[in-house]
Amino acid sequence: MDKAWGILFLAAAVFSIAIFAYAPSQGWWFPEDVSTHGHEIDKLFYVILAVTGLAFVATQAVLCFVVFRYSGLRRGEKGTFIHTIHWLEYLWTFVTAAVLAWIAFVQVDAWANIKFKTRAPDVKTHAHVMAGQFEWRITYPGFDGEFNTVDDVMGLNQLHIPVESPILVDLESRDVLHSFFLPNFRIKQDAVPGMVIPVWFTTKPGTEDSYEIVCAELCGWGHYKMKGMVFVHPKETVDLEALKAEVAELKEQLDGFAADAAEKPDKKKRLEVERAWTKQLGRLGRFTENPGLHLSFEDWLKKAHEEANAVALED
Amino acid sequence: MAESQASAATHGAHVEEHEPEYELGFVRKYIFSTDHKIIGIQFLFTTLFFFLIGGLLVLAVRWQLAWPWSNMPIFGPLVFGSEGGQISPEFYTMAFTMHASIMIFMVVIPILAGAFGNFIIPLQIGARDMAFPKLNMFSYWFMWPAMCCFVASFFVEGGAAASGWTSYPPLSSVWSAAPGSGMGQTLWLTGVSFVGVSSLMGSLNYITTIVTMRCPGMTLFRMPLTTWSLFITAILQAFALPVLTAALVMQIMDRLAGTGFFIPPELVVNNVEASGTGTGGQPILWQHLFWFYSHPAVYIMILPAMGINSDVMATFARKPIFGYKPMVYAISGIAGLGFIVWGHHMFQSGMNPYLGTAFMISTMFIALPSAVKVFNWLGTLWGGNIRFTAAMLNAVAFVSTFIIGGLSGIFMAATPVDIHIHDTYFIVAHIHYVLFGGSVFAIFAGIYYWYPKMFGRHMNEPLGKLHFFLTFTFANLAFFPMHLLGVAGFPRRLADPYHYITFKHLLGLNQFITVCAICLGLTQLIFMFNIIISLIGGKRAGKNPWDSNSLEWQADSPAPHGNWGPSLPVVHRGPYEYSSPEVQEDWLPQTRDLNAEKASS
Ligand SMILES: [Cu+2]
Ligand SMILES: [Cu+2]
Ligand SMILES: [Cu+2]
Repeated sequence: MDKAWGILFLAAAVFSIAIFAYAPSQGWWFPEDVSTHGHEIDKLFYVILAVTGLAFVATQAVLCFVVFRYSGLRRGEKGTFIHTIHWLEYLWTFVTAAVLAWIAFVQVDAWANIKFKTRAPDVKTHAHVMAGQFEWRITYPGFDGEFNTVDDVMGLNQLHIPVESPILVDLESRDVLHSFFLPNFRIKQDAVPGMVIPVWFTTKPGTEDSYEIVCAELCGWGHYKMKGMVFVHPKETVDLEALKAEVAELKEQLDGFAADAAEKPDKKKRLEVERAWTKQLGRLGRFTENPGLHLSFEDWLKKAHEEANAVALED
Repeated sequence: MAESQASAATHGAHVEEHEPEYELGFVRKYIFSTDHKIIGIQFLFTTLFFFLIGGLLVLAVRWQLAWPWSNMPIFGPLVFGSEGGQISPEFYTMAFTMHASIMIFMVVIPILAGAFGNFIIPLQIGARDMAFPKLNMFSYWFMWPAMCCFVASFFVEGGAAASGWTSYPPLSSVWSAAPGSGMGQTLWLTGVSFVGVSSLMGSLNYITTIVTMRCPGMTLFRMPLTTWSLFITAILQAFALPVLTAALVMQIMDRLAGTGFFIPPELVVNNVEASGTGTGGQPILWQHLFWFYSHPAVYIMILPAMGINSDVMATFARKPIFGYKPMVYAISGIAGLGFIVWGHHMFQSGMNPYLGTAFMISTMFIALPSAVKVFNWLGTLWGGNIRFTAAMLNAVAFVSTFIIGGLSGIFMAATPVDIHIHDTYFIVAHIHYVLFGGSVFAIFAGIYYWYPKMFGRHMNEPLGKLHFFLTFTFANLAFFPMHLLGVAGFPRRLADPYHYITFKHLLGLNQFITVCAICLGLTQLIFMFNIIISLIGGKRAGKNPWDSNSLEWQADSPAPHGNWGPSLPVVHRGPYEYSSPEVQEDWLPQTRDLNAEKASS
């Protein structure tokens, strides 16, 4: 009867291994990696998984074996009277120490590449990311490459980056702690009020999509909804002409709106026109939400400027 | 040296007999008692009560993760009637904060140090009581203000603390940052301070008692590993707690007295300027101080569990502990290294990454003594004559699950991997494998094992085995898949993770975990039922029902006031001489004097 407990312990070990083997097929595994450094993290994970997996199998096997083998004996029977085996103690202590030292050693470089300031890319800061309850305020320096000038472009919860270029971001917080977590870029860094922390990464060639920004540090009741997006733009413009036309048309309509509004002092009519234009601006809003990933980053920046002008016009 | 100390103690023992004023009133005997056994039992029942409260809180968390924004049955209408039975994000943050705070500060720490520490230490070293019985009584009664603070915080404006059990400022220290950062947070800080005072009183008592009150013949290396681990834990606590207490006082001052230890200059939170700005504080300072205590606290919660586990395993494997001295050195090693690894909680915090590398290396090496302990437990079982009592099953389960908790720690210690898994469910999986899979299984083992000594009756064995089977099964089913959530990047502490496309597909797995967690919670009712009915209906237990060697089994069950009758026991050997060829039986109590037996026969 006692031996049956061995089955329970064996089942637990088998379940652990089986669900790890099954998980990737269900997507219970690493999200897609689109950064150039992410493979270093993933590789290290697999190395540790191999080493710990081996230790796991070995220790659980011994555990199940002893439970099977040494239970259910007769009551009077005695156990082995042994206190220790010195060489064995030394052996497992030193082997474990050596393995741990090796694991410690192999990861130093990956960490340095991702976090040591001395290894940051030698580029201008791409954007300031200011975290706050419960949004990401993102500022680009605009075409002059300088922050705090008139052509700065500001956006909410949207980080636009060009593919393949090293991106350097200055991370700040204006209230409590937040954490800038990009699961697909293998980036996580707390944002701390009173500190400016540089974060850098590069997107793999051929990436052209949007990815989520997650707040990973508890920042209040709205922590769960502090979501942002990273938009990866291609290097080359694909269809700039069509977009220019669309923006020009929009701008024309907006000019028309301004003229309309000025001409009609009648309150009722004015409201009517406003409603019509809100519809138009709603279209513009959607446009901003899905900001044409086919554009290069520079073209996106131009468009953002124009949109900003348009919104200013509305006011 | 040890001999002369021992004989001095023998003489002392005859002088300090306290037979008079034996008859105490009910209040002095069971409520304001100075008897270490009663205090231990008081700690036991109090912590078991909070174990249920902490468990209820997590049901809300699990419900929300499985069926977000839907009405919670039974508790929903009862607790969140105003929201139509739906859990609000404010309550969600409060629930996981208080779940962890209660489980750590009101359950695991006080049950190990308070309940087991008090009950076991004097019995295992052959003392009549603690060195300072009144201080001991106060250590229990200082838990009450803490409990009152925690319970009351649910009813103040804004509700209980909701900044996580780590209480990171500025979220925790600025009133305008969150509803829970009001009075609830102040009560949390005050409550934890009281727990600290209680623990410190206990620690000083344990250290003094173990150093000065061991019975004749009880050298340090003849102490059972439970006492050893409680001894080292007490030292650990005595050194780590002052730092936590200082940090708690500093945060209380930031909140109430306008200081700015943890608040950066000119901070505006939620459109309100934080008080204490302009003094140039640093939020990360709190994290250093907090983890300087709270990393060792992890060992405060696991070392006694390891000790208990060793005693139970040797007893039911009918074998000496394999590598007794390496076990003691491993405990000391863990405690020593435990003071220089705290930064591994802060790799992504903005702390200098060079420091991260240093903490990574120290953390890697703290895995070594833990591994040595696992190997020695396996060595203990090897070649034994294992008896699977409910206590032993829980002890073996401890080894099985602690292996998982120990190994998953290596992933988090690896700084680059930690970038991805930090603040995800990988961490939640790890802590539950260590604290539930580890500490709680050992606590169960300890309760099944020492219950006869506490109450003179056995717990019901078939019920105990059923409870074990269900607990082990559901704990693994609930906690293991959390590793996979973590690998997928699933963050902890989100009231609704599924509006991220990245995590949408993890809903099904979370529902599975929730169902298992609910079953795990219900299973604990069997345990509570068993504890209560066995008090009156349990099979009567003799002095030494498990044929154990250590000293506590030479006292009556339950042990009387003063433990040992007219004269103290005398110890002749270590506590693990099971299956010794010197005697016919497979146990050889520490007190049995083989030389005297030979001489007389
Ligand atoms: Cu946030
Ligand atoms: Cu957050
Ligand atoms: Cu730690």
